[in-house]
Amino acid sequence: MASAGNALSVFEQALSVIQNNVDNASTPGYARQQLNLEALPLDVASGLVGGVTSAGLDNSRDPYAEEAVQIQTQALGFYTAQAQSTGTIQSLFDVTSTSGVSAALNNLFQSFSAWSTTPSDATAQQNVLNAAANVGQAFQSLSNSLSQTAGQIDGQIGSTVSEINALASQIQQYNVQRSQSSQADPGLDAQLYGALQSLSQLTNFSTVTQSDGTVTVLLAGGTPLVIGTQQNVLSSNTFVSTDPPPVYGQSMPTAHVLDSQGNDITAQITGGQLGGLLDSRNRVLAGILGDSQQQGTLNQLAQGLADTVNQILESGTVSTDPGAANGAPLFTYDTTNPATAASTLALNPDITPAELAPVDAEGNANGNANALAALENPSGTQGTIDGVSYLQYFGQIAAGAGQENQTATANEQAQQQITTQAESLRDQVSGVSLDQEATAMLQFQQAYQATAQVLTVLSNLGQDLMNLIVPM
Amino acid sequence: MPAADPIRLIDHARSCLQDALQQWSAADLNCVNECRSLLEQSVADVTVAIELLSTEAAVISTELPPMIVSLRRDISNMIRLVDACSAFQRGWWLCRGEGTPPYDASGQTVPEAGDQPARSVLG
Repeated sequence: MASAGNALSVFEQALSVIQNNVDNASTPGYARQQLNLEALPLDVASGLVGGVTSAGLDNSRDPYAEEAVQIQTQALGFYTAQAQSTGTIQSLFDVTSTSGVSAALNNLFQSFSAWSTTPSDATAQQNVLNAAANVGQAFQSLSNSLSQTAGQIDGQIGSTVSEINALASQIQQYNVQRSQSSQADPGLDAQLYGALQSLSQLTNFSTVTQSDGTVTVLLAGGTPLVIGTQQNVLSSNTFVSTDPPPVYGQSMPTAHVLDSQGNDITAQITGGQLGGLLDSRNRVLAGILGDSQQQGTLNQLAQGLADTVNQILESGTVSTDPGAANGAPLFTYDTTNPATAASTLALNPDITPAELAPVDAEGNANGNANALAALENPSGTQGTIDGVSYLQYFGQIAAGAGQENQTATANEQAQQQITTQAESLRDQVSGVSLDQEATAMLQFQQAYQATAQVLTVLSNLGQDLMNLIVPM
Repeated sequence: MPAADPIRLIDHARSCLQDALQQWSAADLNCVNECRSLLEQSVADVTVAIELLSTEAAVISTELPPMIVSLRRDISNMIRLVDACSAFQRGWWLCRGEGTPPYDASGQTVPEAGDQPARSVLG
């Protein structure tokens, strides 16, 4: 009677586990449970009555598979955030040449060209000033729009850090409860893995399960996010980095993530949504607008254009008359701070049309005006940056932003598939023993390798095709 | 097999490749094998296209370069996908396996592995 009663109790537990599995089939992070049954020895002479007893709960979670999915999810979070933010950056560059910096530069060069044919014509002179004012406005407008985008990304970084802290808090709470219990709780376990899965969309990390069942979460560089019952609360901020010492002290601040001690751990965040946002903010945007170590391509262009035009005008005179005044600079910008050249570029407020100097230093009547008109398609090094004209250089900046977005979008699409497949493989191997799965795994591995070999051939053929249309 | 026109051949090769990318299901052996067949069709198409483009009379259309760039991008994506799945399986085996895993140092299965029961492979 006793053994039968015990067996009934154990089978009731088993039914309860099955019911729990059914109830939680859709619960995020839940893994199927299985109650292990163990036969009890039967020896009537010794008073051992036999029957069955519970030998503990097993779940179908495979730690390796879970981690593999988390790694792929981190990459997906990175590319998704990168694609969204570079999409915003890209949209600020008008590639139709009907407005913005490109159109303003075109109009300026046209005004130089018209002025070169009638250097003393007041209308032509005024048109040059108007076009220069528009160039200044276009640079300032683009620079301001990019700075606003930087501010938006900073806000997203802040909210992502808050989400990370909230999830870290959940994990810390799990650790508190887990450390007070000698056995794993399926419900708690599901909450933990749900939180880890959500966290993997936001940042890159690894986990270590301690002997007491608590989970340590480490950011990629080893900075702990959660250790036992301790949480390292992160924060975000923007400032001009002083390590290494700034070359451009008054540059646009970059975004940083700090640990609870105030240590800068930005470099450790290379995955997840936070990694993607930081990359767009501190690499892509900083490449255009500058930071403590670089002037920024847009500032380089603004300064290059202003310096060249001003140097040509100031080297000449306003007429061929003896003793004629030297020309006035057409543009102004904050020369003490080259990393803000684009946001401060403007028409010289003191210049008058008559102060434009069409005569070059050798006394040629419209030598300067011709030199300025020639900046549209320069033949020498004057009027170029990295060997290309100012218009082409701006085209390169715009194309670079577009390329960043195209690459990020393509990576996002590819990574979406990889993540989906990792989830599928996780489901395939979870709860399966090596003995059960070994033969099938070998068949899959061989099928993958055969596919990889076909792909190698296809890749080589793709290279051959490329060589045919672009001979080396 | 499309008509012997490089553009149509490459278009068809890319179509097969994209079908393989879309249909790929790492946990379905039949699907993996079907995807390989699609990739083999891509190989056949591109091989013929190269032969046609290698003749002296061949004219390189301006349509071709962007098509080839797209084709190569899809190949690259497919390689990433298959590599990721293969790496997952190898990693799982190494984490769960006992003794020597049935892979050599380059990650390839040992030649006779497929013909043997799992236990004998594991030793």
